[in-house]
Amino acid sequence: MEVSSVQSMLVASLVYSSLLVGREAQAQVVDFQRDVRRILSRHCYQCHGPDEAARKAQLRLDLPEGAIIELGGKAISREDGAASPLLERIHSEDPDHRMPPPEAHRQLTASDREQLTQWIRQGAPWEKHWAYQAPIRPDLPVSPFPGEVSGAIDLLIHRKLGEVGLVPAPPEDPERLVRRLHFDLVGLPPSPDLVAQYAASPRGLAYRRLVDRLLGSPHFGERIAMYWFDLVRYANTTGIHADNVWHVTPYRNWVIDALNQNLPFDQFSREQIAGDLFSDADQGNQIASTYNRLNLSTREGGSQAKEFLAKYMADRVRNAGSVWLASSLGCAECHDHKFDPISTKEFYQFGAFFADIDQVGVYGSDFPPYLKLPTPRESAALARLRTAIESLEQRIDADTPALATAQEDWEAQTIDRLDQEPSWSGWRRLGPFSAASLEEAHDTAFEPESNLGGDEIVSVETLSGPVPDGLRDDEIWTFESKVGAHYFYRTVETDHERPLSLWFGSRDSLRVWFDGNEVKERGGEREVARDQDKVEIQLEPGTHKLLVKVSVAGEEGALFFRSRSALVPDPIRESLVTSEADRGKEAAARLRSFFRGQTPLLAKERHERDSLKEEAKALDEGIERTLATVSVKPMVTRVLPRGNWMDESGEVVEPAFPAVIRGADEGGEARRTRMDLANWLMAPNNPLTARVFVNRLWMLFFNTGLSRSVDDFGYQGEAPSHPALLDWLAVEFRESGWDVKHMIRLIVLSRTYQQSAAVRPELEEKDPGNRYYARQNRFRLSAEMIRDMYLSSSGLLNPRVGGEHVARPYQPTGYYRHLNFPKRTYQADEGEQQFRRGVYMHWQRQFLHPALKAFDAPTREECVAKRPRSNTPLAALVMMNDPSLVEAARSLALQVLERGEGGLDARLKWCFRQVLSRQPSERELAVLRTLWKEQREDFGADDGAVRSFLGVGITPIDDRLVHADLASWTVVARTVLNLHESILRP
Amino acid sequence: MRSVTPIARRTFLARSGLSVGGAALASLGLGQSVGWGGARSGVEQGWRGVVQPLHRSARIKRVIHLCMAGGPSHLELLDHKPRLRAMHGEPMPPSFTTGQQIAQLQGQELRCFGPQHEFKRSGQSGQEFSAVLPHIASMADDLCVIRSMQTAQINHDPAHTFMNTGSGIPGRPSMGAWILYGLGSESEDLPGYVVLSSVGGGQNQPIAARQWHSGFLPSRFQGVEFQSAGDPVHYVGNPAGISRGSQRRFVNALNSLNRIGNEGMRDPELETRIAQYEMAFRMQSSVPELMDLSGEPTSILERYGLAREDIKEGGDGSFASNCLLARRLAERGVRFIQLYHRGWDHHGGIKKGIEFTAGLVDQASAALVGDLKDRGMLDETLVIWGGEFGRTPMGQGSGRDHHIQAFSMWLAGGGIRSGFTYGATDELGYAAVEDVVHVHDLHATMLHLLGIDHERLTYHFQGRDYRLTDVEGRIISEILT
Repeated sequence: MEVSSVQSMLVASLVYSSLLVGREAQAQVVDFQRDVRRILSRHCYQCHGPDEAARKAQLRLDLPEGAIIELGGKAISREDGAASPLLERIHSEDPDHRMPPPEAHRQLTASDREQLTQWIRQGAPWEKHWAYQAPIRPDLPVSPFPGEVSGAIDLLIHRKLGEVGLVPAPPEDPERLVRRLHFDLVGLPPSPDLVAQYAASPRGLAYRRLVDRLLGSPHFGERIAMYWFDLVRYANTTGIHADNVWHVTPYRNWVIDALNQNLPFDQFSREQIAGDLFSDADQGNQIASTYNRLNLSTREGGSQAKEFLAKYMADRVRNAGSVWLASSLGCAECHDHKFDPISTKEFYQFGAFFADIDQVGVYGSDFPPYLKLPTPRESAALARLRTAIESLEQRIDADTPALATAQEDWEAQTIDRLDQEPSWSGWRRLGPFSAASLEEAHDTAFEPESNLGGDEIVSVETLSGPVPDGLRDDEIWTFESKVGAHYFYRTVETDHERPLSLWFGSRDSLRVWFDGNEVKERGGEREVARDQDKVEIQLEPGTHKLLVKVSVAGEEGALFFRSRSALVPDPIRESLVTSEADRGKEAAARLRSFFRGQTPLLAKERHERDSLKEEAKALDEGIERTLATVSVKPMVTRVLPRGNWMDESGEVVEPAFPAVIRGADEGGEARRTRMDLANWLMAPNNPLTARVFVNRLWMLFFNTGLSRSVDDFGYQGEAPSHPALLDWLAVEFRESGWDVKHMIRLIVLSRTYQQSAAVRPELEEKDPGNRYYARQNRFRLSAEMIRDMYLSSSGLLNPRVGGEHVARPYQPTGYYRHLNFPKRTYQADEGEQQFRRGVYMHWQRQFLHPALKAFDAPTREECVAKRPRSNTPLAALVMMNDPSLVEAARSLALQVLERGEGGLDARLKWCFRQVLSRQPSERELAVLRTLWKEQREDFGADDGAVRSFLGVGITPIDDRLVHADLASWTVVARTVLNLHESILRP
Repeated sequence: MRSVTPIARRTFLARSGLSVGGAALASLGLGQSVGWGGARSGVEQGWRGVVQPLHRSARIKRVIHLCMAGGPSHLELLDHKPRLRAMHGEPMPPSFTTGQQIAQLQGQELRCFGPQHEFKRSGQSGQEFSAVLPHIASMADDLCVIRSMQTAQINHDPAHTFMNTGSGIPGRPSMGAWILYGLGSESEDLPGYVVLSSVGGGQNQPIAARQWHSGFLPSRFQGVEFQSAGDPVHYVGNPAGISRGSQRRFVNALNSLNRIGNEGMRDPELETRIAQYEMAFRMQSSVPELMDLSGEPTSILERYGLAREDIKEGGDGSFASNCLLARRLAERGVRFIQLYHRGWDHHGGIKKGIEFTAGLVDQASAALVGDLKDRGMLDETLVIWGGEFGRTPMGQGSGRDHHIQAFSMWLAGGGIRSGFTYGATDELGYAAVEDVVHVHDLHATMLHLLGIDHERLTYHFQGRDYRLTDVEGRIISEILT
């Protein structure tokens, strides 16, 4: 140990000096932000980071005070770098001494060690994490390259290119550029005419006009919304257990509309987080705040409310942390964050911002509260109904001499009868009747129920059964049994009409008949308890027959019974027996209203009122709704030790922002609210929000963020490739008034954006990942945009924006068969709605449409800032065989034929250009020609195949067109739509 | 002939979102690039996994997980508790239950509920099985029963998520995806991770597709669910009116056009795209071939309990038919095969209910193990049989509530000590007290058998190196040979 320690010390020194002397010339300057923090965080912070509980040897390397000896730390010396214990430990050959230890499986590479050494040689400069420093607008350099530049983006990109010895790509081919811009700004391919027009005169001004036109298009909002929905996890279902559908469409439309209106991003954010708290909240603000309700929610029986409330809170913290801060706050739920300076307490403080949201842990039949959004017509109809109901209520309430007399008579009569109870006979019993199973016992009509309609069977006089010993009202009675059924009878007699309530309990299943009519049926096994089932009966004068059947699964059955026949409810009874003089105003009013609620004199008015109420209720239920955020008294938020919701020993916390990114907190005494949260997220001194958003915008237009970790700006996140540019964009974004369209315009007008995406050989060598942007990137379209592409190219697309509808394109049958509570069958849309854009598709979190899933659309259970782009056989199968695409191909083929002009080649060219925005080459044409001819031959010989193939989908086609020609063209169109290039954003 | 240049491979990896170290990168062995014309073109089949070479020698090649969903009662199946029988009806001693998490029995009086079925010893090894599992019991000497399982989640959905991903929070990769990412697949015509879910028999708890998702791993590692009705794979059938020949010509033309149209673009995704269309086309026949049981002899069908007239026309979605398919998938090189059978959620009527559900799975589970053994494949396979949690020794009427302190599973296959019972619960079957096996330990052991060190199969995501076993996991060496 001793020896090896000395040895490694020597090695470290040697390495250190060799860097000092021999390799000084070529040793690159190591950057703390870019290089060192990443190494320390990945390899050391698990044990020497912010998590106090996991910290070993009381050494922390995430703060300079812990690391630098001159600042009171223990690992690194600035004055005598070679003597730094850290160097010695990382270079040690002794596995017991070496850091990180082998069992941590976090070994440093030679280059990691070299960089750490070099950094210490540079004096171990320590900076605050880049993402936690406020962005400052950098000075702009001069471009080292000739030609036009369009501002900061190009200048800062070009500076870096100059530094690494690369040059920007030439401008993109105009056809491709228009296609790129179109997909990027509206998510749709351009029309061939537009491409031709632009390609004929690809001037800067024409391009600018096109940019402005597309930014003004209503489809712009749809395109950006697709991405926003991944972030905020917008979906049509709850995501847990039965994955029930809820109402959120108005929120969807609000987002699209807000993006189209270019609502400033700070306002856009505030409304979603705290729109319901605006002092003058309008309907739009309230709809926006649906955001707070999009967390996974459950209705699963047996779930613990407290547990789920804790889950909902954590879900919201994770989401808001990811959406606005790109911070993995969720990691601090159970322990202090392993890598970032975020404590468990801060996690719960952040969660406390959401403690005021009206919610329950385990929902019942629906997910209230909802915000109702009636159309003017619905509002008017509702108002009319309410007026009519009101006027009926007034009539029912009006004073007339006739009613006054009737009430006096009724009171006198009722008082006389108050103490009369209906008279019950004793119980009799028949059975048991044995059966093979509980179900059989329950379902079989044994003798006592074989003549229910008749008089003779269920009549107390003819009962032959024994008196069940021990069966008493209001007590659970158990009896021995085998698998089978037991019947119990009794009668009840009254001399005037009165209400009767019956309560039952049973082991196991229960059926009840009253006067031969079945009034309760409850199958299946169960344990007996009091009052499991209740039956309400309006008793007419006379003798009535009660028959109860208990079917038993095991060795013991049980029955519980009690009844009550209160002529009037207790408060009314009390008022009645009080003399008129002593009644008091309230009691008198109660009596009056009760009387009017049942007197035959007002039966017509009451009936009319009730049916109007029914109508109003039905109308109300049809009104569009969205999950509402309603602020109530905040729940108590506690730190849950190790995330354990059952542990109530944790400290109670109030809302507060994480210290590391808090900035100046000017909070007063009052408890902070979601509005404070929103304001803080958007505050000028918050270093993250603007950077996070512009980095993601950049990704939408280049496929990678300037920092590729678009979802993590913590210590583990990647430092930006162009820190100055990221800062410039962040400051510009904030200072422009959070103007999203302005930022997009800046990006797409840059030369960097408009350059060619072609990969040049020298770039494959020097920059395979295209981190320096010496070219554009091409990448596969998103799942929704692939759908939009083929619907649009084929002319089938229904371009309607917004609306209440949730689109349901064709989906394989039986896909939802695992969904239960309730069972569901997918109903594909008919007519125009079948062809809505992907953004409007029904988002079933647990069973996402297979075509969306195959192209990496997320389930939207969690925030997703970047979708993967897989390339799988399942995706190929979707493109080959999904009826939606086959139908689109046929629609495109029909257009080819309808054009009716030119020969085969002219038609092939037209079809190709319609989809790909370019002319086919001669060789491409040759392949298509052969394909068409082969298909024409196949189909010419098989009329049945033609009919089947052309029968896919719902668009009707003229019977005269059902021909081998159309079928062959459909295959050609299908081929073109399937091309790799067709689903690429160029 | 085109081949993928080294640079393009690297770019391909970068695009796939893979974060692999230099060493792994060098050894990925991507793409033999056999080239166009042959049926085995491209990069995708070349996915050999990031664990190169294996961390240790592998005992098994594949895993078949028979997931008994709903929480099968260990007390009626694999964990014999005579003392609980003796205490039937008596109050549950509070020393067991105070402060513990309870699902639907919250606030109710807790009473002991005796085992509803008899147990008996079977085989040379004399392991105890319930009378409702006669076929499984007949394989006693080939099985290893674990009676001391514990999990962390008490409701179905999060508990399945935990069993599959090692975390109760949705979004992590499932174990099958991890294994595919680590090892790749041996199947060239079928996906490497296949899920089958049986139908019929009153199965009512929903199962989320998330259970076989790849989480933050690239989506090609996700499980592919074969449907039991209609097309077994979504869109695997040609559009109506399109023959296989026509589809072949369509794919040929498509691939030619893709090559021509992307010349000079140096797009690494292109080779993958072409390869995937080829794989898709192969699946259009390999999947129906897989599902076609007409070549299975009657003796085999009888063994699984499938000797019916119509079964040869294709699986009927029953658990038995899925077990047979699992064997066929294993034969075809599929790496991770997962069968879900729901219907074990016996809150009431457990006596009959468990007999019924066991009746649906017992024979076929045993047949699968036996069939694999007869074919010499059991040694290279790990079969896992069990649910997401257990059930309370306290009654809930005539059933039992969800329970996380104890449940049982059995394992069979390569490297597993057979004819052996491991771990024990307390005298009432409430909590695992001896040799406790956590879900993380099961994961660690499974990876170990596959030749993977569970601490070294990691993926960097959102600033952290994630692994299937989170920060836990112990290899249960006591159950290994």
